[in-house]
Amino acid sequence: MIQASIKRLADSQYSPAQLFFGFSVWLILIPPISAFYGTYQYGWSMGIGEPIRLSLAESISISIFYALALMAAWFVTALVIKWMASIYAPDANLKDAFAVVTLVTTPIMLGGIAHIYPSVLFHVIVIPPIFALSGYLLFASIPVLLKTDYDRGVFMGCSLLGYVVTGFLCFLGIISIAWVQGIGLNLGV
Amino acid sequence: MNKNLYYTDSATVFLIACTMIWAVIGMSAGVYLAAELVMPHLNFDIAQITFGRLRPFHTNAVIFGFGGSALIATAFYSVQRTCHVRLFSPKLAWIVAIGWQIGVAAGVSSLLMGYTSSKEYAEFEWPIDIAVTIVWVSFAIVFFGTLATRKIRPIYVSNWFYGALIIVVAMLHIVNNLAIPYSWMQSYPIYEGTQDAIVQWWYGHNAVGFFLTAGFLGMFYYTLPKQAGRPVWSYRLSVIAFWAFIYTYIWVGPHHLHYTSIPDWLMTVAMVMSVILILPSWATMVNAVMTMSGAWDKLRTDPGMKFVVVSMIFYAMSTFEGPMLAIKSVNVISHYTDWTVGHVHSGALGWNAFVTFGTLYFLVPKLLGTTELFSKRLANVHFWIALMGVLLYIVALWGSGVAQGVMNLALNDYGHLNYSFIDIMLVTIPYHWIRLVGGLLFLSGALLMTYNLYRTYAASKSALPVLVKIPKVHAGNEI
Repeated sequence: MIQASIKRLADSQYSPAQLFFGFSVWLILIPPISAFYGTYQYGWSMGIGEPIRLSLAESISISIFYALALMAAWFVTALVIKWMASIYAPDANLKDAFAVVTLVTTPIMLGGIAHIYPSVLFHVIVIPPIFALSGYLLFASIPVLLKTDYDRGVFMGCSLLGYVVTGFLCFLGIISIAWVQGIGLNLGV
Repeated sequence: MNKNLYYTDSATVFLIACTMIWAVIGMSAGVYLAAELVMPHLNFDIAQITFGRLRPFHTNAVIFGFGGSALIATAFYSVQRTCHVRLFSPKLAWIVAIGWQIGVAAGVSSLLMGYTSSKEYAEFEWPIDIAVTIVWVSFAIVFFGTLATRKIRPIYVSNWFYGALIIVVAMLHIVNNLAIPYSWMQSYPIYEGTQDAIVQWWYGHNAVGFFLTAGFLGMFYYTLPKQAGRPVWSYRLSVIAFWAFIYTYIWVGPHHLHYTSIPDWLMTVAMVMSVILILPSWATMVNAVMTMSGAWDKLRTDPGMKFVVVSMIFYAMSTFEGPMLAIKSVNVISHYTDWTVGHVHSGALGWNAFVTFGTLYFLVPKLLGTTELFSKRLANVHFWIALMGVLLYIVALWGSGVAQGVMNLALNDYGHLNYSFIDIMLVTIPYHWIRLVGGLLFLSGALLMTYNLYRTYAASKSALPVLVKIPKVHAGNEI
């Protein structure tokens, strides 16, 4: 079923703009809206004590920033794929790169609904299967959507996986540095 | 029959069997420790299996028992093939193989009995340290003796890494364990205070660098090109990465001592060198990925290849995460939390254990003179449950580590700490259950592998010993 869907997407005539504005942008809004609702209504739970709740203004500003960051990450990833494709998949165009990002990020954006229940433990349980599905879609879709062979597809999939993992670790590091610099949490450092 | 015309692999076969026995023992101890963290009554008030004694038993059994046996086995195997010569002294090789097992077994047993120098990853007391030194020097004689008698001019890059492992680990082991004995099983270190801490972590992190990284890179540089059936993509890059790695790694130990009483400049040097270390580490990763070019289809058919390739991804991830954790502003959150433990295990399980599993799946049929494992299907099942196990483990400890880091430091409106130690421990429990499940999956995989390799051995033991003739060196490459 997944393979057939990927094939249909590859055969479709959508433009990059249609893919983004007709589909992805709505998905990208799911995590920030869920995060706004969860943070404002319930607050982030560490598992003990009072949840960390934010004011309405703080929740709105953080959610807007979150949405902008997701959109920027989406576009940068699409451009990175297009750039990598110049080596591994020379027949691929910008629409194909947009299609890969659209497909791979769909489970992640849908999974963003988990932010409605902002518990660290809940996220640790929910996130791994979502990312596993996205990982599968990454390797399954590249050869078809970018019109390249299996060997080069795996090659490019590994490179993209490295890019994503590095991005995630950088995100963890930058968040930690921000906290230590007094942005966000009130820490005794 | 002229034995000098054939390779000698009997010590390697013995060491591989020991590798799998140590894997089961050491990983079982790890799983039991994970269970004790959520069910402390599991120590049954028996001193020998309390967390404080079982934890160093686990680390020493997996690092030196499992990892050490695998490293010596693969060094003996690959140095012969890359030098086109029989081992320098097969008898001494056997003494090394058996001596290493006795040394580690005596060491980990003494830890359970409560004899410890209390230096992390160097807990063995002085008589065992001396015995291990003698075995290690014998290993050096066999390895460098084989190199010295080689028939081929170039020294292949895997041998550079194994050589660094042998020389640097000898230096670290001797310097860090210098002590004045006051009884047959106890001693005082010659260093004191911050000097002791600095020397200990100079040892500690370079044990990670040279035992768990350089040694396993030696294994990797031999196995991957062989499995892929292709030469290393850039030999020059591998040698540049080697020297950059050697020069940089030796400085980074004090990043384990951020915000302690050691000099501030030393912490900064360690931090900067740790970040620079990303370059040689990732150069190796790039070389590995490029070496696979044209051979990715083998991932479909070769379970050993799956392990080796995924080990490279974990290597890349942990060698990026490590330098990031060494940045002082990140370390202030991550230090003393499960984030560090998760990071260590992404390297130890995802990189060290995976590359070892992949290498053994590749080597064992060759050593037994057969073409196939007993069951490829079992090896594939092993791959997927091990991958699930390690991912569960890491994600759980990322969650618990970040939560612990924030809770350790969070202040309330009055400027007091917001959470007590007990609060933090209670929050950690669900994550430790997930970690236990991850560990159990990983151990189950190791048990499957042990069974698979045993059945492969049982099916072909009648054909042992397998005699492999040493091929002639290509013209122009002779010494």
